[in-house]
Parts: sequence; C-alpha cells; structure tokens
Amino acid sequence: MNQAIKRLLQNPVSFLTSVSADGIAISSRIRLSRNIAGLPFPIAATAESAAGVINELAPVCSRSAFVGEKKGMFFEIGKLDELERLLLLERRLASSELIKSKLPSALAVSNDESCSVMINEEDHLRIQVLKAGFDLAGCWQKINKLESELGKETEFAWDDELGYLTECPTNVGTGMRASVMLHLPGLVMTDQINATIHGIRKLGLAVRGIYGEGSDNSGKLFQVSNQITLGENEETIMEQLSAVIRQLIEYERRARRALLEKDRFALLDHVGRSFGLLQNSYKLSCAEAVEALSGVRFGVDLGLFQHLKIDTVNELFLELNPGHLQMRSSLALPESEQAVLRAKLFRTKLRERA
Amino acid sequence: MLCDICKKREATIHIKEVKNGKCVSTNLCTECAKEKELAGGLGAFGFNLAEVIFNVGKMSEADKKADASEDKNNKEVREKESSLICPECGWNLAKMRRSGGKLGCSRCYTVFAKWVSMAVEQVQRSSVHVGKRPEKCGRSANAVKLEMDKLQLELASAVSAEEYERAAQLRDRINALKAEAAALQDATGEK
Ligand SMILES: [Zn+2]
Ligand SMILES: [Zn+2]
Repeated sequence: MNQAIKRLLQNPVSFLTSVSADGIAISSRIRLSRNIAGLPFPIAATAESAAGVINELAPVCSRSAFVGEKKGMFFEIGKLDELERLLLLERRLASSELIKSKLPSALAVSNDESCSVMINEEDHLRIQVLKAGFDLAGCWQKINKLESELGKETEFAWDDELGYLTECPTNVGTGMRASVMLHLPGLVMTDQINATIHGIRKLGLAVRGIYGEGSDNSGKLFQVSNQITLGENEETIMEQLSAVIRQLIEYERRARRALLEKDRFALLDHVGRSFGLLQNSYKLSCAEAVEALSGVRFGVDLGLFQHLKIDTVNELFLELNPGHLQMRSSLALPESEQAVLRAKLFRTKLRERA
Repeated sequence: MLCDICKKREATIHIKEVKNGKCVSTNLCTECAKEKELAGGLGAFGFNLAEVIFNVGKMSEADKKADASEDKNNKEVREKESSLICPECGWNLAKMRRSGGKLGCSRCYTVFAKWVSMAVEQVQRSSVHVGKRPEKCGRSANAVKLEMDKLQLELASAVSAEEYERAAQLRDRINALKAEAAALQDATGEK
C-alpha cells in the first residue's frame, strides 16, 4: 500500500469529526479553478503538455506552507491502484474526474486534509479547502492565502475583463465554487424538500445529492452551491449563498419542531427502526446503510441517544463506503462480501451504545 | 432518429424538459449522453451550458432550410465560422459543442469570443470580473468603474438607512477606487 494512503487511513477527518460540526450543516467547501498561462487546458492537452503542468506545479506545491513537504502528502494518481483512488474520492480530497483522468494527474493534500490541490483535473489547478460545519468565511480565509501563495510562483491564465480563465466558461471570473453540505431530514419527512429545492434553484444556486449525480435524495444529504462565478466578487457570492443557507437551516429547524409536535411517534419510529437495522443486520448495502445512518443522525441531533456522539455518526458516513471498507480489510471484495463487512462494522460500532 | 449533438449515431436517450412553459425534447446517443453528463449533468444544474451551444446548433439547422433565400454574405460568414480554428491549440466549434461548451486554451477565449459571450450572457451575472486578481495584474478601468458604481448605490442606501459608520467605510473605498481609476486613465493616456 502507498505509504501516504496508509497515513490517510489513520487520520481522523477534520471536516467530519471536528467538534464544531453543527447538527444541520455538516461541512463547507470552497474550490478555486486556475490554469497556467500559455499551456492548453486539460481537455486539449497532450500527455506531454500535461506532464509539463505537473512538472511546473509539483515543486510549487512542495514549497507550500499548506500542502508542502512535511505539511502534507503528494500523490501521482497514475501510481495508485483503484482502491487507493476510491479512498481519495470518498474522503472528498479528489474528484471523480481527477481519479478517472486519462492524462497524468496529481494531488497535493495537507496533513489535516483540509486543503487539497488537484492537478490536471478539468483545469490545471483545482484548489480546495474543506471545513466542518457552516464556515464559508473560514474556508475563504484559508484558500485565499493558499491561492496567493501558489500564484506567486506561477502565472495564472488571466484576462482583464473576464478574470481567471477556465476550461469551461461556467467557471470563468472568480473560478470559485462555494458549497455547504446539509442534512435535511426534517424537510424531507414533512414533504417540503422538493418545493425548497425548486426555490433555491430559482435563486440561481445549485442543489445536488452528495453521493453523485442522480442520487438526489440519498441519506437526506444535500449540497448547495453557487453557480455564478463572473460579475460578483467572492465575498458577495459567499454572502448570497450564506443568506440562503441560513434560511434553509431555519426551515429545517422549523420542520423538526413541527414533526416533534405533530408526529412524534412517526419520528421516533423512523429513528428507532434505522438504529435497529444498523445494529442487527448481517448484510448491508451501501445505500441501505446511508439511509439508516441518516435516520440515526437525526436521532442524535434531537438528543434521543445518550451515548452516541455525532462525531461517531459522521465518521461512519465515511467508513461505510466501498473504498474504505475494502482498504481496511486490505482486500478487493465483491459487493456481497462488502455488505457482510459493512454490517459487521455497524454491529460493532453501535453495540456498546444502545 | 439521429442524436442532437453528433448528428451521426442513433439517439437512444430521450429527455423531455419543461422550459419557459414549453416542452423541449432532447435526443442523445449513449456516447454523447455520457459526455454531457460529465460536462455538468443532465439537469443537475438549473441550466446546462451545453444547451446554449445546442441552440446555436439548432439555429443553424433551421437556417439551413432557409439557405436558398439566404444571401451569399451570410453563407460565407457561416462557412468561415465552422472552419474557425484556434491557432494555439487546434480547438474548433465542433469540439466545443461536443464537450458541452468547453474551451481548449486561453487563446480560445479570443478566437471563439462570440460563443463565449453567448454562454456568459446565459450563465453569469455580468461580463466583467470584479473579484480577486493576480498581484501582478492591475485592474481594467472598466472593472474599477463597475465596482465604483456598485459602491455608490450601497452608499446611497446606507445613508438613507442612517448607517453612518458603514457609509463612511464605503466612502473611503470609493475614494480609493477613484484614485485607482485616475491612475489607470493616466497610464492609458500616456500610451
Ligand atoms: Zn451523439
Ligand atoms: Zn485554443
């Protein structure tokens, strides 16, 4: 196994397990797209020009105060096997586009996993900062410094009118995508979620399920992000997004109160069944586990469990994924055997906390 | 039925969406649908850049029927456009359309400026960047003016709301921008 990957597996994930994690807002992320001036974007790159991008950026990253040597890890994606790549994806350090890239691609990660720099993703550079809870301001503060630091040693593709130039014109300008991951079981259970999502989209923001496209509703987890990148500065974009997130959190609180008042037994039943399923199963699919764990998380938020902490639940959201399960057992396993392993994980983790 | 994007392979995926009150259908082959999904998802966003490009494609398709009555000039323009190629990276309109509106390099932004501005108009709030900039690059006079206009509006509302502390901060920022604009004017005037 790759040594740095081994280190990652020992790491607690700061963005998931930090104490500041709020019940509703799980994590915040800001991502900046940048390209090196004078080189073709990845979509038009040759293996040679792409290797040139890595050659230019790898030393810049290694000198970084955030992701540099001793401060972080550096991965050449081509040298990792499929499971190791999956692990990076599940920890949200790499995107699926990066790990599937046909070009030479690389990834620099800070030791605490809050910062990552993807090289040769859709753009030459995708710089990302992740933090626990609802903390876009904190993400911006950090990523602003990281980007300036990298920008001192590299000339970014830039146009006086259009700002930072990106492979896709939907990212041009600030190149910034800010997002917050939210757990919204109250809005889902009170059937208000579709209207809410519709309303948010009307405001020019994007909403997606967090387990990739199409899995809109999985785990009642949602990611809300800005779409506009040009014509407003970073602070304004973040403020507009934050205003909507604050409102969403308030709606979710209201929905939870309403459930507790009007439909208390339905709520208790949902949480109790979810816990029972996780505690007593001998085979659990990924989707099943995510759904049930979402129910348990809801119960923890509402104070229904005395001994189960939100950190444990958040960590399980990561550990239940195929990459983590298989890496921990150091074996590539078929899905049916993963299901057995997953069930065992939950039985052990939840036994002492009933 | 042929695929709307490549117009070569048989369409196997048919998507119906309601847009501006009208039902719009899109027909795609498996390959193009896959690419489109990678480029931003089928309906995962409120909009999809590829559609901006599609509409361009459809327009020229419809125009082809009117080809007979079309004057020679227009036809030449179109032919010229379809043979446009970026001298830096070799990108062309067909590649741009197939990739869902993506560009091959910085130079493409100039070569395909017409399509970029169409995309920007659909997706973005304005066409001038006002955020962070590289330390080495000064701002364009246009960007300075735009931010100044915006701050003036904020100042007016702060004054009418009697938020004097905030108004004072805004005034300071506006004065700084004025100085910057004047310096830019001098620089361009000297040239
Ligand atoms: Zn096709
Ligand atoms: Zn080009």
